[in-house]
Amino acid sequence: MSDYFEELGHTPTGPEGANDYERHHRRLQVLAIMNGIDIEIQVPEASKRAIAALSVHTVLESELGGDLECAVCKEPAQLGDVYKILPCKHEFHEECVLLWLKKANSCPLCRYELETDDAVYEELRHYKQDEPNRRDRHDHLMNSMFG
Amino acid sequence: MLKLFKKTKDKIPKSEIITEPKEPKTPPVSKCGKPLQLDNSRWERRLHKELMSLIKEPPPGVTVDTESVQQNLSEWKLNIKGFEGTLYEGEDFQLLFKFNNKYPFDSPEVTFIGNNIPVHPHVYSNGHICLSILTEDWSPALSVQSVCLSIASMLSSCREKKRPPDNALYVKTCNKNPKKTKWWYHDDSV
Repeated sequence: MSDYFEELGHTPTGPEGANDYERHHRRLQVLAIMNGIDIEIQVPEASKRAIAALSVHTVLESELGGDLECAVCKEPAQLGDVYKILPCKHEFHEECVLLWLKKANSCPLCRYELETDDAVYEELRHYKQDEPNRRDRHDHLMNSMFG
Repeated sequence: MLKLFKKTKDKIPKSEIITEPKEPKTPPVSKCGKPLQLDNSRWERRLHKELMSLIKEPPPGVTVDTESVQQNLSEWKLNIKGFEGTLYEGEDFQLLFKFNNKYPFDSPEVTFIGNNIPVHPHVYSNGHICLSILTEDWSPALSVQSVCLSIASMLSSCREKKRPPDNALYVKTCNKNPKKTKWWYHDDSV
């Protein structure tokens, strides 16, 4: 059987092999959510790679007095504060956002999801981020047939 | 019905005693509500700021029970009015917010207390609220104010006063802390 999977280029199960029940359970949850079942899934923390890739913004004197405010600690920007910029362009104090990204993988303001180290969850994340494209493809297909 | 309310009323002090052991974890200094010199001062400051803005510019229909807050900064009692033109017009409710020392990274524990618990499809008769931003959809950018607004809009958009279908079973079997409940958020329309 394993030859068969190898031939097709599949790894049938996770590194723990067929007995990695937790992985199977999580994968079932992911599949359920992708099929429209509304269940809760534990969200993993953001990956170290994604955090390291965040760009840094040090607050300059010219930027003071604006409406730049860290949405996590609700403090207005002060000279020399170090802000991290997420891919969605929202920015927060380095300390604030890193504490949050240890618990979750999403932007506190818009819930944009950062990459995680959890291969099972990543499948769901890619699926969710592909949502607008998927809808476009669907509309396109419908239009080409009935439009 | 009256009996039921009395029962929940009696239960409240008990639940406070049971959840008490959580308290010592937060530094004892925070009890007096003064700014702390500890490294969580930033979060204490945020809580203070929220309190101040809630007292100064409260969202419509919301007032803070300042006496309760003075005793303990990590537990706030808020009064919330049923809006005019909704099913809850003329009613007054009381909300209890409990913050642990990980706030705002952990969501506050929010329940209805007192002897008037709104009859609503997402509010259990023990005061627990089924609202996704209080558990899995919490984000540190949310605040007491935004939670109040969500609850107010949840009440206002209600079209029929009734308890959740599984109320009796839930109230009997649930944990004291609503955050321990695995909620199913089935109905977004109310």
